[in-house]
Amino acid sequence: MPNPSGLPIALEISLNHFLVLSAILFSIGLFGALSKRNAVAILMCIELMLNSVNIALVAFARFIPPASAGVTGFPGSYPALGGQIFALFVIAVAAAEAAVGLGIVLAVYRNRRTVAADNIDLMKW
Amino acid sequence: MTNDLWYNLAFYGVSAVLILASLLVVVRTSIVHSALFLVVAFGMTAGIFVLLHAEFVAAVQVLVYVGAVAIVVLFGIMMTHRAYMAESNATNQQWLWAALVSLAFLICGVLVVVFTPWKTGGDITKLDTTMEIGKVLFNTYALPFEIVSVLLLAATIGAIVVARED
Repeated sequence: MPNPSGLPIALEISLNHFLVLSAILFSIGLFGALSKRNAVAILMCIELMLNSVNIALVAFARFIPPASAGVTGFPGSYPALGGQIFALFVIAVAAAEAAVGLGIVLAVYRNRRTVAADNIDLMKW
Repeated sequence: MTNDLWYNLAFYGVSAVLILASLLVVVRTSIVHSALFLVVAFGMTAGIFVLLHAEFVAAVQVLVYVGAVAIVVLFGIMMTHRAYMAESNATNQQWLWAALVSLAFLICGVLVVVFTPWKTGGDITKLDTTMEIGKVLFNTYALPFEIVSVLLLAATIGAIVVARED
């Protein structure tokens, strides 16, 4: 790889940097989703996790186009952007999930007058 | 391009703000503050997408997440919290176990990332990614695209049906 700026090669931003960033964000979102009491906060943390997965997908699209990964015979004009396409689909599904999830939270709040996940225990063993 | 000094500075700056905002989403005890830091985190993610040459995904991120999902979350907060806002985002009793699980996941994830021999290569930086996404989306991925539109319609109707006052 050419190194025109003269920076040490260890400082080069590579795929690993983005993937580690994605892992850190996913862990933060996972901690929030597991530890929060408020149902709306749990939904927010799930959005954070989906967001971090999008970073990983777009990083793969940037650094590993299918031509270099050995994938051939793929239909379509230029199939190198599968990761970005997948990120777009994840964004659409996340938007749908937010709408339905908050609808459910509103319905629960109307019936139970609470959004604390600890108190929504009707089906608890 | 990826070993440009400004690129490095931008990456580390945006990443630092992104991680900080995500942490604040989780640790703030007022859920309104959490929602506002969530907007910051979504915006910074759009910055990361720009650094990855995904301009169209960055624009969609701003439109959908910052513009729509954040507003929906804020509406959800407004309609479920009448008067009390302090301590509206407390943690439950299992937060220690949750922290352990998350930490274990983080360690495993970082180890997998570091020790996998990624076959990097190729270059999409010279590509007009927005135009290429348009081409690929309506040729190769035309069927998933249509299915996602049906999913969005179903989610819209479902959200209205679930949240409606009887």
